[in-house]
Amino acid sequence: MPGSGHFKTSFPQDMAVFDTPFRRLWLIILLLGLVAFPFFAPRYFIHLGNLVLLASIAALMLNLLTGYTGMISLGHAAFLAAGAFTVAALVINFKPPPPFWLTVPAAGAVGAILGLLASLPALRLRAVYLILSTVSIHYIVTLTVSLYQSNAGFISGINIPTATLGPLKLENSRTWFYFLLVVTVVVTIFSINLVRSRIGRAWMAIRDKDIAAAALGVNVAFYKILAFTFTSSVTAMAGALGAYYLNYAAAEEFTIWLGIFYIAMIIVGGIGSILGSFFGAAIITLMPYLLDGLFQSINVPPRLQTYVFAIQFAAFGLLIALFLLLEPDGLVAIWRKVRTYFEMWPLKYHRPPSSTR
Amino acid sequence: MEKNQSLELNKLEVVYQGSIIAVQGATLSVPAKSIVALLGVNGAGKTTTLRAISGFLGIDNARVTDGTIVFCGETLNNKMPHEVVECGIVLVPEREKIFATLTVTENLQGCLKGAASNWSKQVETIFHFFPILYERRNQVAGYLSGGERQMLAISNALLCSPTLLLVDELSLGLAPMTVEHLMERIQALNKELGLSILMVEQTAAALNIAEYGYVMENGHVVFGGTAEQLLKHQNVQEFYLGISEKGTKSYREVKQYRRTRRWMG
Amino acid sequence: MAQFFSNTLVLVALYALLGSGFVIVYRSSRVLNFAHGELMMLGGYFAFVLASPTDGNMWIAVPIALFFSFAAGAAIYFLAMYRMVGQPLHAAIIVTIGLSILLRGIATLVWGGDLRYLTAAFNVKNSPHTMPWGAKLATFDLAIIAAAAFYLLFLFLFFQRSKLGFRMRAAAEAPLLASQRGINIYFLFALSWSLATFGASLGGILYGANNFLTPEIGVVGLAAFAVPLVGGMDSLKGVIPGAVMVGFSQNIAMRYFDPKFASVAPMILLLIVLLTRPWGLWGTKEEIERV
Repeated sequence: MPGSGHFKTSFPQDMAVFDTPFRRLWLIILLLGLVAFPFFAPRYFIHLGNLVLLASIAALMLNLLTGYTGMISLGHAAFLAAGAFTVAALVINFKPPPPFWLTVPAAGAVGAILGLLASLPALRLRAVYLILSTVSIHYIVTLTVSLYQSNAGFISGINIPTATLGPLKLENSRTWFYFLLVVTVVVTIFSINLVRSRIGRAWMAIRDKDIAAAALGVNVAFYKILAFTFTSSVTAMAGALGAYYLNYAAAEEFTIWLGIFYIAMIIVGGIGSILGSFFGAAIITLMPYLLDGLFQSINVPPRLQTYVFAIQFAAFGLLIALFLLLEPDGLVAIWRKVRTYFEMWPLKYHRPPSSTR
Repeated sequence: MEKNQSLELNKLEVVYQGSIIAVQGATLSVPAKSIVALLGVNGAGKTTTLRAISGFLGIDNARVTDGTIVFCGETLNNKMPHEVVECGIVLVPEREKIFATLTVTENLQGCLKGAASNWSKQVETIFHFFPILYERRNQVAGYLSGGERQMLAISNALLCSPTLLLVDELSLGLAPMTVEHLMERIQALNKELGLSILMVEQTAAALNIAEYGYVMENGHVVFGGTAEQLLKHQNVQEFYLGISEKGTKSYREVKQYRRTRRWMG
Repeated sequence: MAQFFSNTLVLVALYALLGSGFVIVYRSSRVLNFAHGELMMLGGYFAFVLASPTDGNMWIAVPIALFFSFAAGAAIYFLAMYRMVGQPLHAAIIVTIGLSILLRGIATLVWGGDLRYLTAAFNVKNSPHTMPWGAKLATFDLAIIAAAAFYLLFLFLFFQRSKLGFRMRAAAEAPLLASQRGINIYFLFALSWSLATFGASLGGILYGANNFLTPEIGVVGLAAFAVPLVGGMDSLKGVIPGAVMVGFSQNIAMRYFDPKFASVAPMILLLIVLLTRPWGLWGTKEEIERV
């Protein structure tokens, strides 16, 4: 932060992922908090935590695709569905069901293939056109999935057995929390370094101006395909984990609204920001529960009880719209402002170094 | 018209994103029917000054936080661009200066202010100043050459019936011959239509047609005077004309020199 | 067969009404309006609410409802989309998504989830008429076709014969520059939202009279996305062939394949068009390069 009291005196310092003492401090507090969380939190809260972690992985992937490569996708739910139903198909077609460590990578492979196919329109399309192509991909995938479900004779979802990983049996929400926490941390660190690497820089170059990127020798087609394939693969694996966690996969879960909620997550959180993906995933996942809790605590008269769902729905829409109207760069922008304020204190404005501008 | 048609900036301060100062204490004036040049290197705050005069949109995330912009006795601080146009100030921007998907005629029609009956008279004036546009009138503006684009941009601006034209980097990306031609046209506009013109330039070439000049650096107006005074000023010679006692200096030297030396003591 | 064609024609007319709204909003502000289906729903409910104060007189209630929709379009623009000019595209699009959720929630809250019948509210009969070619069409089927024809004709004249047409294109392309040229871009954008909402609610009222109203009928708007895309996002001309293709693909899928395919058929059509001719059948090719 130019102008603040913190200076970097070496190149490794400048390249460090968590560069300021302020960030390191917060990171340590956050990690300790997360590790301690299942010990004192009630089971319901741990369950919510798990949902947030699952959403975070998928939201992070969408942010890599949309925020870093600039390809807006409303078809994210399709990849989650593909992952969940790969697991479901493997589980009902093989006796005994294939193990957890085999089905999840299989889901990843299916997601990668699907992502590859989905990326083909992206080679020609941009902006609104790309959004609509992902919408149509979503409908095609979810139709396939729901036809599969009904043809296999399941009316409302396919049951999925408890996951075991070696000696570890993932059956209660506390074990799942730690497992998902580790997965999330691994995916996050991988993503942070990915966007700092050649690949990430190529993605950002494409996002900012694909023609300029191509002129600089970035293979635009390759990196677009890579972005779609990679993020879809991880998303499908997240979908598979979600199916294992909930012990079922139901085609009805994966509506277009789910895809919209994921886009809402990264935008509310902060598009093109890894930290923002977590903010967004937490807010959007928890918002219905928060509103629910709020309504329970204020004792809604019974006459209005039937409207609670409608009120929640409206409040949700209002919050999304308000967020974007007041802070189009998302929660992470508020966070940055707060951070800048503290780092720059007591100075008011920060001025770029040298004579630029 | 009004008795005092001059534009006066007084200690203008512009802040981007609520925290980054781009212009600080810019004071300058453009008298009626005169040509004024505003010089400065990249990032000196020239374009921001022009944008502040012509108005910011909400999306620019910029505001005039201090000082005043007065034109014809009216304060223009933080007005919408189309309101500023109503007052008679029109900007020819540096980039994105024409509507690239519309044809030349559509560009002109879209910009025409007032009744459609003015159209033939107005457009005649345009084609009188820039005959080449008449030949290109049915082409899509995106396919025009750089010089023709600049002419179309100026024509578009003229159709808004300005009394003061703000021209941002007329010479950007154009051949010296074209620039010379355009400069001459600008001078003609000033003489024949009685327009006041504020030009922003990186090179001192604009001083050849200007009556007054100002120099901006780091968001401040550091020097101002008549064109002759500026042309004779040692620092202007060194930085904008590349002339010094030892002969031409390299960019690096000039840059270093600038860091060590202060304007006006 | 004649009956099949006639029924499809009604669907095509509804899609044309909705699809032209997408085109108007897109042309003026490059925003894809996800709330369009909900605006249609809202128009239907406006008419429903006005049924009792006007003693069920359709000829008074419907124009008032349409006027309200026109105003609502501008209101939505100034409340929500106004701040989104020039913001990244995705932000504006997500605002429309938020709006659609909000409107749906409000509609459920105010009018409940029950089916509402506009024919009952206005005490009119939706009686079938035999067409010269042998098919049977109800009164409001014919009304939808007539409304779509008149609305599209009006739009054509409006854009071709007025300077506002150029100005809307100019404002869409470079809002800042347009503003610097003295064009009041906010007025133009609000006008386009009003026109689009007007068409949507015309569709909503007639749909509600022909079928029923629930807060869920906005999903028709999702299928209508395919219409402007097939025809070309920036082309009003393309709306009619786009609506024809989408309407027929949907009804053919429903009749000859699984009814489940009905919602997917327009999407498959959309994907095919996107892969082969992404700027649409009548759109301008520069459009796709520019975005």
